[in-house]
Amino acid sequence: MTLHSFVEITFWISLLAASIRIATPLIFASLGETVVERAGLLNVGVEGMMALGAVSGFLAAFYSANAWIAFLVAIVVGSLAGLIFGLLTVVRGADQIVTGIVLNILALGVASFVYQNAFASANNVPQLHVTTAPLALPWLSNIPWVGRALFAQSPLVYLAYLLVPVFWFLLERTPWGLNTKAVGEHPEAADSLGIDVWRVRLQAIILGGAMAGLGGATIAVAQVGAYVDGMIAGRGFIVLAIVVFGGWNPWRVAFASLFFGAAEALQLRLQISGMGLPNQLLPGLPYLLTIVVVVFVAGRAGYPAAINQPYLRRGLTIMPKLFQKSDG
Amino acid sequence: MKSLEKLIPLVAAGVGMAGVVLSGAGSAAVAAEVKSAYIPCGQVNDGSWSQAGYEGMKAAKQALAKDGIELTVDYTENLTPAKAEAAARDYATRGYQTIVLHCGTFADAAYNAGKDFPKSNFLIVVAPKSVDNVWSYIPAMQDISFVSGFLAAKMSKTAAVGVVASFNFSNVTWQAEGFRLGARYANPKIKTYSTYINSFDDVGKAKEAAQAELDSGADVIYSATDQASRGIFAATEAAGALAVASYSDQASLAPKTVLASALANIPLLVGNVVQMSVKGSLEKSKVYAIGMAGGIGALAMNPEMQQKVPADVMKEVAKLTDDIKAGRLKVPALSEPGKSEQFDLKNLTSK
Repeated sequence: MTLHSFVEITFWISLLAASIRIATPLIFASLGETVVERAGLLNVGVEGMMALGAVSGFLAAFYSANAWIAFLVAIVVGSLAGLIFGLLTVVRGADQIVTGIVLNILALGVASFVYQNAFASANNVPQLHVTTAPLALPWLSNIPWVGRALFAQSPLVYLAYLLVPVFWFLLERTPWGLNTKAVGEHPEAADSLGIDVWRVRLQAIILGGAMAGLGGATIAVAQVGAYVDGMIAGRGFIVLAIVVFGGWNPWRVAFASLFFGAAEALQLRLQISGMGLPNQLLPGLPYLLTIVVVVFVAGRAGYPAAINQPYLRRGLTIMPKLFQKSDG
Repeated sequence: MKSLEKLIPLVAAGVGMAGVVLSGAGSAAVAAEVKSAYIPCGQVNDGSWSQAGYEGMKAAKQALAKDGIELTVDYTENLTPAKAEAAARDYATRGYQTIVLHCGTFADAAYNAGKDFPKSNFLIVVAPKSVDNVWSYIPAMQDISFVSGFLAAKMSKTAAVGVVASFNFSNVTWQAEGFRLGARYANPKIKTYSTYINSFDDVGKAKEAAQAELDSGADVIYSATDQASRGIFAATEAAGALAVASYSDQASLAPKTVLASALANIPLLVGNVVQMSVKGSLEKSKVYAIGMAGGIGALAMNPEMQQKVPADVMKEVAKLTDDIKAGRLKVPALSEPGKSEQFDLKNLTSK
């Protein structure tokens, strides 16, 4: 590949296809985190939840030889992780940042422990072949230029396309979305209107965990067919930046994920272009761009007003006494 | 106290090794006990890097036993660089003669502890220099990656091959550039690519890096990463292309795409430097970058893929291997990405 390649259409098509592939797990996790933050929670534990999704999805795929069962298992495991985070932060009122950090450490350790104990020789587990093969959609994949890049992808990519408008619709056009945003902006007001703040927040964090789990399983099961410790490699933190960058709006969050994916796909291609760009700089390009965008473009966007603030009240209905905050 | 400190090395030298704890000073027994410590990145049973180093420690113990030296091997696992330094200092305080830091990020730990504990030998893997009582040992993988590049170029139908590497750092870069140079040696007109993913474990990024090279026409990809290699295999297998693994034999992980594995033989390297350290035969300031001439680096073909490789190519590979082992062909350690493209191939064989 040389400088000349940049004027060739095949270069741009492969770049677009790669951007979408890299963005897909980020779209899943950041859509979930968008809802979580709109509900007034800040889940710093996305990274760990993605790792749990990756390991549980991989193990499910290994034993069931079915990718869709694997995604389902990852979603369930992610939901449970979300529920734990919710019980600690929503019901017990624990500090969200601290809880998220601790859950990250715990989840990464649990993921590694489970994987190492599932196999006698964990480093010699063969590559799985249940990976969802690209599926070229009829008609759409024949669109000139962009058809194959957009519509000859893994079925999970289409799921991501589908979920973006679904999340937008849920948040912006349903009572559930209104309630979610209300408890994120002004929980007292929401409460006075009869909205069960804890229930709404717990729903949001369970959904967030589920989406993070799906994101992790997308890499382990759909893209690679292997689990490796540390494979989430900071994507859970990138997701936090993407949600800010996307201004808590599903469409813009999806676009922000694509932007990060495109920066990554581009830097990988610039490295092999032999253009003499500094090799120390290129791998950091996606992160640099994300920081720049978050600071200068999305910086003015405001977090939901009640984010990271526990809402504690008496007389609740949904949780057993054990989890209730005492009056004292 | 000062004079005592001076005395101990003298007495120890008389016994034949430095830093032996003199429980019964004066009774200089010949069959001596020497203590060694092993501090890897991970766990000694990880089936990979840390285990390979530990096997080297055990090999040294066995070899030294034949010379009447009883080597004890203790280890501390899973440490951060800061904690590794504390562990190294602790071992040195307790009179350990050889302390092996088998992790690339522990270099500062080794140099710092080395300064304060001159009586112990500190061995640090893949560090830039050896000073005083701190010695660096490096698997010089560019020899075997050169052979891999030669094989890859012979097997490439598109006349383009690539490397996906972890970090642009020391012997990883030597390895990547060695591969590219070996490919050029086989076919001067070949296109070679390299991509650094700044991770040992990011399988997703490794797959996309390999895919970017495949998109640019490459059809054989060399993995100069650790566990992230699985991402490379996923990309080459889906594309019907070939991969070459490194460090350990990974053919069984993806038998349909891994053509061969470039083995590092870490146990041999660690075993040898530890023996030299215990016997006191390490040379001052020498970096032990050991390549194929020293037995480090071998090509393990994937038996399932062997029939795809023409017999005359295997013959050429064997001859190249002999030439490098005998020093007739010297593979340079190129520490900057892209340097292999400018390297004059004539300089490989001339002295």
